[in-house]
Amino acid sequence: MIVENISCGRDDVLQETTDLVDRGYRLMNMFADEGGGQWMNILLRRRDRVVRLSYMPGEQAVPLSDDIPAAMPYERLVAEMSGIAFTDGGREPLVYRRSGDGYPLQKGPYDGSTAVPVPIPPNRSVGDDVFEIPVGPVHAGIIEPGHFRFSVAGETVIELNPWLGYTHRGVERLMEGHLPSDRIHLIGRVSGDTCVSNSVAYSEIAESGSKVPHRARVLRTVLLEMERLYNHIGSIAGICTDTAFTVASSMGNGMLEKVLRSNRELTGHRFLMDHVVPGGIRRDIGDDTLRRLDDFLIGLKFEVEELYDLMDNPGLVDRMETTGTLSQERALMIGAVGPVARASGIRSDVREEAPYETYGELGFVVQVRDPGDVLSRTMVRFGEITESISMIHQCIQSIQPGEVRVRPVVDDGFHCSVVEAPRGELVHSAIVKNGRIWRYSIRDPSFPNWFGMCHAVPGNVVPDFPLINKSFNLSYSGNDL
Amino acid sequence: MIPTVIGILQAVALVLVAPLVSGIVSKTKARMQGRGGASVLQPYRDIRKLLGKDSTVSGSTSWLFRAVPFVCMGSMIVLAMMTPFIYTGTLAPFGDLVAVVYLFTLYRFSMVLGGLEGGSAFGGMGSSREMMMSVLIEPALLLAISTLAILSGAGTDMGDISESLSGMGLLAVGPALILAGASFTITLLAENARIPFDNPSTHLELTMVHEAMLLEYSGRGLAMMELSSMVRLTVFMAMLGSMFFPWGVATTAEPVDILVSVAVTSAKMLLMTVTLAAVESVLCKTRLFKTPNLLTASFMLSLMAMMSLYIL
Amino acid sequence: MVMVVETSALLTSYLVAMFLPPALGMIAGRLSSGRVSYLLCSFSCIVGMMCYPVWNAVPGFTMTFPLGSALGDYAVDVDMLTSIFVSISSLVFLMIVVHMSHSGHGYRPAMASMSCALFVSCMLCMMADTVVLVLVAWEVVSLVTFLMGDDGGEGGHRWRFLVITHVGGMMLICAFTYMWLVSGSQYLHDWTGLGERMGATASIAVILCLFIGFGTKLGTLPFHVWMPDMYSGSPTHTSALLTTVCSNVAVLVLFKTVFSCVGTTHDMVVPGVALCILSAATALWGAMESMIQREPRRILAYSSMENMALVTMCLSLGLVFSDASEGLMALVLLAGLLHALNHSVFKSLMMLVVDSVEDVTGEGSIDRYGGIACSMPALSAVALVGIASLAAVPPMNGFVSEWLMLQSLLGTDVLASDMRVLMPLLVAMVGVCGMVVATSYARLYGFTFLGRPRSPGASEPRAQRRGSLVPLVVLAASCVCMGLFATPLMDRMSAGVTEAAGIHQGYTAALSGTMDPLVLGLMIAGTVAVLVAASKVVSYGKAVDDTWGCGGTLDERMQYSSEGFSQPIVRVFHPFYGDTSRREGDRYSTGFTEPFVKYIYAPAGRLVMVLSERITRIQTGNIQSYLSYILVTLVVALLAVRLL
Repeated sequence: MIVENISCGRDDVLQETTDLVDRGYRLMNMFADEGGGQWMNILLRRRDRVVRLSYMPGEQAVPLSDDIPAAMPYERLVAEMSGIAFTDGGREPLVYRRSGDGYPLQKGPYDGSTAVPVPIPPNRSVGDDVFEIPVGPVHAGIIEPGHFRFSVAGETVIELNPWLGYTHRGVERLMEGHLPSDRIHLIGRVSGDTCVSNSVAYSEIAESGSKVPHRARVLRTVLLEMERLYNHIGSIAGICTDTAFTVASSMGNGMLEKVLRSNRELTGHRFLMDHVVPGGIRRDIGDDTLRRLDDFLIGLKFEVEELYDLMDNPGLVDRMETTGTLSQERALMIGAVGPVARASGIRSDVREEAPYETYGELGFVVQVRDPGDVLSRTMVRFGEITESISMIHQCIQSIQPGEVRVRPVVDDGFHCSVVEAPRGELVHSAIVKNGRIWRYSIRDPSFPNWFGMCHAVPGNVVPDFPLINKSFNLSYSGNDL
Repeated sequence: MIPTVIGILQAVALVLVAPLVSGIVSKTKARMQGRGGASVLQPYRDIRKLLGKDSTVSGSTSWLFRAVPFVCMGSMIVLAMMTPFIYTGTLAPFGDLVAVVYLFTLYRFSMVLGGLEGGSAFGGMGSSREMMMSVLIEPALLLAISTLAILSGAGTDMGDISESLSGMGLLAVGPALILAGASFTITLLAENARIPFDNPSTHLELTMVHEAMLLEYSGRGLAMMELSSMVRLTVFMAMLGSMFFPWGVATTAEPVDILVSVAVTSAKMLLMTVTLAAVESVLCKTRLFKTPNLLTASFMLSLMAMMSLYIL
Repeated sequence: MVMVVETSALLTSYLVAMFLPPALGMIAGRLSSGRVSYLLCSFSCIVGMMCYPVWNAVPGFTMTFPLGSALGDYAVDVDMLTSIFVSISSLVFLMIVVHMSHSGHGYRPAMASMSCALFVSCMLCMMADTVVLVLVAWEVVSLVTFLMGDDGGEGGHRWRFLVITHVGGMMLICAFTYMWLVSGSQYLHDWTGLGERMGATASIAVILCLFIGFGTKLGTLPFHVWMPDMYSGSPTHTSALLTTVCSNVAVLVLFKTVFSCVGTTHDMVVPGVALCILSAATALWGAMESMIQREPRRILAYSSMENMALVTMCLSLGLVFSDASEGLMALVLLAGLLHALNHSVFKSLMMLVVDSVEDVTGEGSIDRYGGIACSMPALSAVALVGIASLAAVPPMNGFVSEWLMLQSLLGTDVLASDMRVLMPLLVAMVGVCGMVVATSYARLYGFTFLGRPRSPGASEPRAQRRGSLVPLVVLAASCVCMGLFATPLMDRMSAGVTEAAGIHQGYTAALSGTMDPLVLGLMIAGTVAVLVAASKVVSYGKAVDDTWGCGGTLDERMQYSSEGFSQPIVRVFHPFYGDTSRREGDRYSTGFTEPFVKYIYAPAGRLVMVLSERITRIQTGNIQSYLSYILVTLVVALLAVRLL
């Protein structure tokens, strides 16, 4: 990955950004940091080239969202977290949704206990017959808290706005001031089911000055793919549960359980937590264990095929086809990532574009499907399960004995790492000053994808929403940070 | 006098056995999914638990909200008295099949009104979906049972229909009976909020039909609503078993007949519960606006059943 | 001889008691702002309610009024059925008038006089025995309702009503005049079996004229377009009288002329089927349309259309069954007539409920109500009885007549009819209609009385006027009683029907099932009572909390809307309703247009406008041209006389 730092004046930033976007760069993250005044950082990426564009906004920052719609959520986040004002007016709070004395990501003391919640504004749609259905943050099932507000006049959804932020913990602020190698436990818990990806992204920053042994990299790849495997299987089982396709649902959940047990055998933890550390992995995984994993995965592959055949049921396919379509155009507009983007026909996969760990040595096919409905998202996941199994097999076949951990070293300055988490492109970026973290920013793949829901759900009927939601399978805690 | 007593007794039996039927369905479904599942007696425990609980009602509900569970339960008990189950001598002379269909309307109407109480979006959602489906369910039900009345030639009293059909023996089996039976089976699934029309075990408020109307109920009210929907399922099964395929049902109050009928009816009920569980396991919930297609199919089947009697 | 004198004296005094006070009331309209007229009218209503007992006591209830007329005599003849209709209609009339006099609308005193006039004309029309009296009374009914429909506004709804009702009136005049000519007698009681004398074609034409003519008042397609506008545009009490008492008049006179004067022959089967299909279509149309209306009065208007269509369907089935079985004919006619009577009771109740709700909230759309059951439990309980009757829920009266209707469609005698294939379709139609209107009524009740208030008027309703609940309670009690004690009522009506239609079999002969509304009602009430009592044995805690809002609080935007409630059905029957929703930016709206207005009445109206503009061109204002018009007319007239 090649990181290029560009500083520019306030007046040129819009021109610079649009030029980069025209050259194929895609917006990846935006965050503010303080170093002799507020700086705005705009991260863009084209394949393995990352550009960090920084400028001093002064009194008011330049809005990019008019030309690049995908920038809107970042602008809202920057406005509420770092207190950046924009020339074209205020921004509706997105995640923190509280107003208090100061801003949580500005340097200096901040007391969150005195902040008062900002009420959720009504939806834009109006009309005599239009009413709103509020769902959440308390749900009947065991899922993360989030509030969804539908505007409907009966069954067809006219407008949907997700309101998250109920699991905001202030992760970015908690990172600041610590040694870069110290915060692996916190990072592992940013989003429980994305633990390995987050840990790898963090470790790549924290170990950027040292050379990680090859065996550790191979094992990290195995763990990354195991994480993808259980996430995708869980997501497919969830689709069956939501459509009341009970037998397939039990079968999927049974497979999920088997994968989780094999995770425990590999690392001692069902969700693979705390095994990846800066400098390598915590403990070597024996060759016997890996061989057993390989055998298990061969069996799993047959089970996946069986599940696929079971789900090839006209009723179920009818349920999924044309439901919750996110067109390619819309997906590009909001900057969708991961399986969601790939299901809308966008070929974007960090593993292929900017290979990290040992992905460059593996052969795999990026799963791209059309036209962005629930069925295509499910098919992408099925395809990726097969690819993951094949990749783990390749890793186990090629693994060589050796060291698995070195001392992590990191230089001062700006660092950035991009990982393809199960939900898509996960971006970590850090500014290290005097050997300590000065500013840390995480962009979870769910963050842009939540806005995909706003485009995919309207036009569908209310009872199809849970299915669409499940097919996006987004993280609340990763989004809320 | 004795037939009336037996009629009331079999209604009591039907109400008492209803939770067991639900329990067997759940258990069978669990086994088909490879799970152990809860005991078949679990519904009894649930009802007992709910009956012992305090209830919380919404401040924006009126007296009607509290009356609805009683009316729902009451109408189902009256229905149980009119349905031939083990013995054909029911209290049907006081209400024939038309009255039975309208008793379902009473049940549904009060439940829908109960759903509109509280003034949340969920109750309205359930009520409006319920009414959409019932526009097609109810006529199909009426036509299917009416077909039996005409086929048996015994008039519209349910007990007489059952008695006469079982007397006809295999002569009764013909296109009309099969079409009407098929239609009634679809109606059974739809009316009782089973897959593919509704998911009785879902927790997703947005997809619910039947459960969404009960969201505001708790404690005793909920116990009665749950029990009445279990009774409704059992009444439907009793109709299918003892009216559409009534062979083996006791037509006299002789002890031997009754004993034989208890055995035969139990076997039929068991067969139907297992079939129901199997059907629910192989189907998934259809889209909300595709349910009318299936219901229209049921409606046309029953219409054809009745037409075939008049034309052939 | 003594007996006769006594009888005629009794009759005279009865009729005087019935018709003199309202006649005085018409004149006394302005006295103490109409109170005198209301009192006089109410007195006569009470006298009218005694019509059935009087008929029972007096054999041969006939009388010719000592009024001379160039066209013929004015005479009344009351048979058993008429007396039942008069009694129940009077009860309904009384309740509406009592409620009217207590209402807070500040009606013009003229309303009181006009209700007196309406009472007289309605009752005379039902009792009439001569052609002149029928036609004059019918015309007065139309005119008085037209006048009573004035709400001080522009009044387009009234004119539409007047035009359509006169189209019907013309058909009636044709039919009656023709029958008069053929029979040679102005007395209706001489017309029995007139169909034989008129011949097949003429009697079919007469019957079609009668059905369509009275159908304009009952909302038969495509003459229904005045109903929603008239019902929502007029004062509620006018609408209430129009939909109940006036409909009863139309149904009764239609029944008597068709079945007792023209009589039924084999030739009637085909027109019967045609009328039956027209009625079925009307019923479905009314049901479907009632479900998407926002104003309660429009909902009730379309519901009247549906109910009246069921009645005319029964009457036309009477023609269809005439060759199959007399018992079946008696059954289906009884079902229709009983439904008309039941409808007048529960519909007047609902009309008065709607009036009360509009009065206390000051709002006129169900989207602006909600939660009234909490603030006015008594009104909501009474309304529930009305709604349950409308939705034909057992054991209310609406259920009994629908039960009879279905019995007549499922009866074993149907097999004897050539048209038996029609019956499953009609059963299906009655079933679908029943559920669609049930949806409509659940919507009406649910969004008016249940949920949370949707407007300031609904959250803090004004107190009701004292005594205005009394007529509602009486009508609700009548709904329950006419349901529970339907069997004696049916027996008496059946005797009347068989007598009037010359049928030799009672309705019970054709019944293929049994139902005892009293026992059924007691069974339901008893079970519910046992359950309630059982729940009282062990007391348990009750907590009051907010409605579940998924962890948040619900604001006024988060409640189901009435349009949303009906949207799934609208979507299922999409071909019927067409595209209903529109979106402009963030504004979303739904709207329905009545296709009959859009495709028939509006073009017809435009055509008339264009034609009248053309005609004004000949008005040149030039004396020569007018003289030439006279000349041309004279020549044409002379030629016509010469040639014919």
